[in-house]
Amino acid sequence: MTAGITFHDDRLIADMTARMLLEINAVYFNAEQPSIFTSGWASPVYIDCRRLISYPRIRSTITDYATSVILRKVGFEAVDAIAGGETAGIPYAAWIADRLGLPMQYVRKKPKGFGRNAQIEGELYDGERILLVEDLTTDGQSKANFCEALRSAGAVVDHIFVIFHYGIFPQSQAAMAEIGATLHSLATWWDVLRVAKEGGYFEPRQIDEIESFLNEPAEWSKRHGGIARGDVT
Amino acid sequence: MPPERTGAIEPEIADIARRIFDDLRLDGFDGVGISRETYGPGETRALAYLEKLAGDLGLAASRDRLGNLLVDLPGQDPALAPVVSGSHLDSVPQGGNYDGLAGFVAALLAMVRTKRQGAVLSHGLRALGLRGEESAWYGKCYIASLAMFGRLSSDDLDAQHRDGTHTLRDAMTGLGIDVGDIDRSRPIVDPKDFAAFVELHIEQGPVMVARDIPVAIVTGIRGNIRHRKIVCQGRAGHSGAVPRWLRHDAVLATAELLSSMDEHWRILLERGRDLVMTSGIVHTNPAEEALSRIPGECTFSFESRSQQQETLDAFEALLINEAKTIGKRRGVEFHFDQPIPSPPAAMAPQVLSVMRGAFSAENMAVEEISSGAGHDSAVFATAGVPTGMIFVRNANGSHNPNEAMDLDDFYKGVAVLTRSLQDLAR
Repeated sequence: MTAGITFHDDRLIADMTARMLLEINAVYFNAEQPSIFTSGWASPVYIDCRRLISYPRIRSTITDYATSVILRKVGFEAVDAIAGGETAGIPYAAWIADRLGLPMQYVRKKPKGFGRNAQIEGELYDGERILLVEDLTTDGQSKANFCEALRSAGAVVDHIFVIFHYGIFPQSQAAMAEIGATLHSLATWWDVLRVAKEGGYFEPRQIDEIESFLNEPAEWSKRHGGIARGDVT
Repeated sequence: MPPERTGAIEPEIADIARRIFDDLRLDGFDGVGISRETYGPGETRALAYLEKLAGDLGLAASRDRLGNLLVDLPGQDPALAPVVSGSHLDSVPQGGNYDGLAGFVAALLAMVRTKRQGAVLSHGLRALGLRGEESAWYGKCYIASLAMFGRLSSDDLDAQHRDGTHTLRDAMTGLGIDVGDIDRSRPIVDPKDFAAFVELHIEQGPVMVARDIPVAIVTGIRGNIRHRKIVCQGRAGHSGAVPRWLRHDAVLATAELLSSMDEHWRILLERGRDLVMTSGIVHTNPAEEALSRIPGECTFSFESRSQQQETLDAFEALLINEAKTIGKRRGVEFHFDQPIPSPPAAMAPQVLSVMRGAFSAENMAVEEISSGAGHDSAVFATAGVPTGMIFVRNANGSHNPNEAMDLDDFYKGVAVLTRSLQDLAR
């Protein structure tokens, strides 16, 4: 199952992940009509990690990278099961679980009915050490719901894996500390920015706008009619 | 920004502003908020007050055939169309004092200042006090401005007052207005009668306060599609005796429809579309509703607004489609009334350019914003009149008794409005 796994360094993984996202046009830029998140946060950029599932070689590479990061940073015998967060986390959780030969569950956004497993699909044992998998996170806040559901069902959740972590909001660290888990990711906006600059994926004017947002997201949001504090998701 | 006085106006002009707002607040107070009813007594009194005041200030005041107030300051060349500025004088029931009124007062003060300055302008200036902008009373917005351009119909005149006792036609004819032209959808003005139309208005939203911008240039106005009354028809039944699989609950079906549309809305915002949706009126049939009765009927309103016509059309299609799908699944029927559309309106580049110049001349940073709320300006813009809007920030939103406006912000608005009108009229 894990035969032939290569442990690349973080920088290579970040570069390659960023390049894959850019190559398949999963990165959207629009400063005039910014993306507005549920929280009211305005952003000129939007990333669609779900798009990766349609590209067999890319999704296979992502799964390779994910398993290498999980084994190296979480441990070789430290994970009992992989749980995907509904909806975008599910395919990635499935591929990672398959590669590692591990059981899988998925966590719903909302419970269906009542009972301690009301938010969980699949079999879950008391004390199972579960790695939560999602496609992306902005500031880590949205993972709290999934972690709580898994813990209520009896799981131990110390680690969360996402393909893409925005990596630009200072409150991410506090959010993860409050959840009580470590966040692992393959790439952030800084990696996408670096690769975009090198590869000429956007015009200089657009790069400047993106960089201005990444450096001060609260300021950019406020200047473009969005909120400037509080949770992003 | 240096701490000098930017956007200042003369103390005697500020006095006039305060006096008008105070007098009309007293006159229009209904016990909770301001009620200047469309083609009703409050609006009539406000127009009369302002007409008299205009005369006292040395300006020529008159009425057009729809009862709108016109205040004129002639220019050098009578052959040229005037530069017009103003807003509406009606309010929603229990509303605020500044929604609409601020725009007319600003226009009037701009003219008074121009006259006192002795400015020499080729075009005349006109302050326009419009009746009937608010849809709260008869379900139709921009009544007078639409009627001016021949876009109001006989059917529109038959719209019922919210209390169901009379129609718009009754109210207008009761005021001595001849509705003959409206019945034939005949315009009483030509777009060429306006060199430009500029409307100052409170923002009515929280963005300018959040961004600490006192006055801003409006780049465009959201269009909308409105359903006054959608009825979900299900089947009433005993709430204890009917199992889930035999129910046709009109309230749950409506809740599901609104919930679906809300989720679509959230996603569209994430994709950068401009959109708001609201169901402001939702109720069961009061004659039939009961605690232990499965509701067989649910009536609700639905409006969506966007700067993009394409988004409006797509969202409307989504609504109809979802209603069909949910209707089939739940065994209910959604009956839609004729939607009332208002197209999005773009402000004229030449007017925008003049306004930017006016901001700079007043040492004010140029800030631009789009308008979520609809305004008479949209009617002018769509008719082909070069149109512009200036927003003044205001706290506590609008269409409620707590609507507030800082008079210092208002004076800044008057300052840029005056310059803009003078530049357009040269």
